[in-house]
Amino acid sequence: MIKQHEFGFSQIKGGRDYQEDDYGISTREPTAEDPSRLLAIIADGMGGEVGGATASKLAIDGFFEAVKTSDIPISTSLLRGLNGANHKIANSITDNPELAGMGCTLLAVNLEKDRFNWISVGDSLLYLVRRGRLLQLNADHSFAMLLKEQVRTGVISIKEAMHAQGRNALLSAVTGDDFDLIDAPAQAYILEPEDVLLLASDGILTLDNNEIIQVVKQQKVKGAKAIAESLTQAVSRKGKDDQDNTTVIALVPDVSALQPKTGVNAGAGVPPVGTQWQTGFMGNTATANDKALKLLFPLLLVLILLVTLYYWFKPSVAPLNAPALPQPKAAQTDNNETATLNKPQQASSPSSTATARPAVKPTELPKNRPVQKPTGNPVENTEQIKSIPQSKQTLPRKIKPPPASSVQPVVQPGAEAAVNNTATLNKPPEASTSKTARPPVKPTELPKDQAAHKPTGNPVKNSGQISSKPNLNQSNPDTTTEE
Amino acid sequence: MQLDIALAKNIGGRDEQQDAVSIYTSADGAQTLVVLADGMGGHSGGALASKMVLTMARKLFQMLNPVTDPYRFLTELCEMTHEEINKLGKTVKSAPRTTGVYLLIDHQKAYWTHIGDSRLYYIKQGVLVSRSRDHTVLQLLVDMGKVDEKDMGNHPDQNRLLASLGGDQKPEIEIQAVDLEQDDGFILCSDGFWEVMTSQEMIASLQNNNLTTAVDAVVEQAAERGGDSGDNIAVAYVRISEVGPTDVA
Repeated sequence: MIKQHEFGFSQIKGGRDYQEDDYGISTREPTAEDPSRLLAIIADGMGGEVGGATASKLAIDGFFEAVKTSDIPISTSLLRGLNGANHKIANSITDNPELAGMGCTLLAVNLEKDRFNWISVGDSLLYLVRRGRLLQLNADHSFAMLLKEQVRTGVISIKEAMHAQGRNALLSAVTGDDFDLIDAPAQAYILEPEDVLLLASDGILTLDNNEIIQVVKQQKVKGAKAIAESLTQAVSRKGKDDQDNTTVIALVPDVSALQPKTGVNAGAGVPPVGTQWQTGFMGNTATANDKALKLLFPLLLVLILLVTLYYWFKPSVAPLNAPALPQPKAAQTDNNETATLNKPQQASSPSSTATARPAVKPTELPKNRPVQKPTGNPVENTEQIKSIPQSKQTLPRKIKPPPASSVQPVVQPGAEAAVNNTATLNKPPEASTSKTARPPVKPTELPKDQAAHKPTGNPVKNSGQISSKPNLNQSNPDTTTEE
Repeated sequence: MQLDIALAKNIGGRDEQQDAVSIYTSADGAQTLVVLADGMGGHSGGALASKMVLTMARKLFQMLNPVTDPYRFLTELCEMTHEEINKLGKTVKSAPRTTGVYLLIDHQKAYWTHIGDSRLYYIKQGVLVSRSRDHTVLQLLVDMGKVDEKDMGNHPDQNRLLASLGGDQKPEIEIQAVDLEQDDGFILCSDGFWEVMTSQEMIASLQNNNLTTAVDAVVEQAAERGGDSGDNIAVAYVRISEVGPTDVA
């Protein structure tokens, strides 16, 4: 008898007249060929009273049908499932043209014994609650997220973002048309004991991260169903008039299926960069950073050593030449000295430029941002990969989960490849589906020096300065004026 | 970062509450925005204007969530609020204006700005470190030494604002910032409060263990002093009960 992962779900209408969310959960006995045990899907529909609910239902059905008739393991047939969902909606629109414009988000999570992977289109949320922290794992394909990112990078002003049309639009959705963005990890994530996974439609955003964490903490002993129900109850309790439909699926993995936590993993980092994670892509960027650090430190030490040596030798050289007097000569010896001393430094310089390279990336990013579609970056075992954006790590997130790179961990692409990746991600929304709104301002057209508007050098004043004068009339001499 | 926050309002002796105060927290809990406004203008314009201050703050704060550049955020927020209130003025056919005080707590730092005669008091270990300088004629007189600080509350030349959100003149935004330490405190209040309370009285409530009860009591006391013709009162008390470790993420 194989133990199953536990799941629970809950759904509320909120302040809406109709329910446009739909969900589906399927469990199965794992086989030798396919270790998959549980498949959970959430779809959040849109497109009016009939369309929204229809689209999400069709998408769920289409997904399951495609996955079940597939002869490859579920973990690698999620894209097939997504296409199945898409076709189902496309066919339905062909049969009932009045439904044109309907669509939905789709988030499917495949859970195996000790790992999971997912596929996601739209703004439904996949949360991982791990060690008291909440991580959003999937990319948010909402226009609002793109606006936020553009404000952050100074591409547009807060005002422009605020007045942007179609703030609720999605950059990508299941509409029967081609996908603009698909979020799927290249490799499975490894589960840890105590992990809880939450799939939710965006109505959950009524709760902040801490509130979600609290509910999970409190209800965990009671099980997945209690978690899901308490979360929707918490949303209801907020009593928002315009509360969106909210659907939550909670997955509590069967702990006995998981390996005990190793001592190494108990570190403070979230998520851990334990041995398991080094092959998973979550750990990838962290290790890359570590490497850079490891390279930099010796370099620094060598540099310090060189400088010390230089000054050490200088006095001893100078007296030697002193009797001979002429300064030019002394200078010459000095030069020689430094020349030889500098040698090792030069030898190491290639590696120093190599480590320095990542630092260049950010400045290059904005220029490249509105550029082309992804060019290749094959992912193993997946068909039609070209539609999978490779750029997970640059997607802005509400909480910063570990930077997730969908590029194969070992092959660390050069800076160029990385830039290409990000470019896809930031693809301007004008390329998005017909139903998703255009941003009023194309990122490309905005003056670059918008960024210069950002107030520079507003040093945070140390309170100590003022504290010396506890005087009522104390004015604020160091305030910064901006326009 | 652990914050104790208490908000309180009192209509005073007036028919309409034109003061507004609210608090917003970012999804990750690391940022808190406290906003207080004191509206002016007939035909409910004042109440609408102060409400607009909160609405705009909430919208922008939620949109950015989290704020990455506090200076830019506060500046643009004030400018946009100013424009929105003027737009509002055209629809209600009055010239609504309002004061505004904004305090943004972002991890271990605090940023604030104000427009008009609503105030922010910054308190360290029970000692007043600074208070915002009113944008009023009266404040200028105090600065010139013509009026004593302690007489500000009952000077006849009250209420002449040199800056406001809404109105002909676009407000200039000055932002102050400090690194936070444990037990730092902030008091944001409208003039209905500071005109009748001494700073010592205000600060005393901040030291109280049960902040909510203490703030309710002090606002009640202020309303009593204001009497039948007393102004609206709004206050927000913020106490940094614990400074968290530097950002992990």
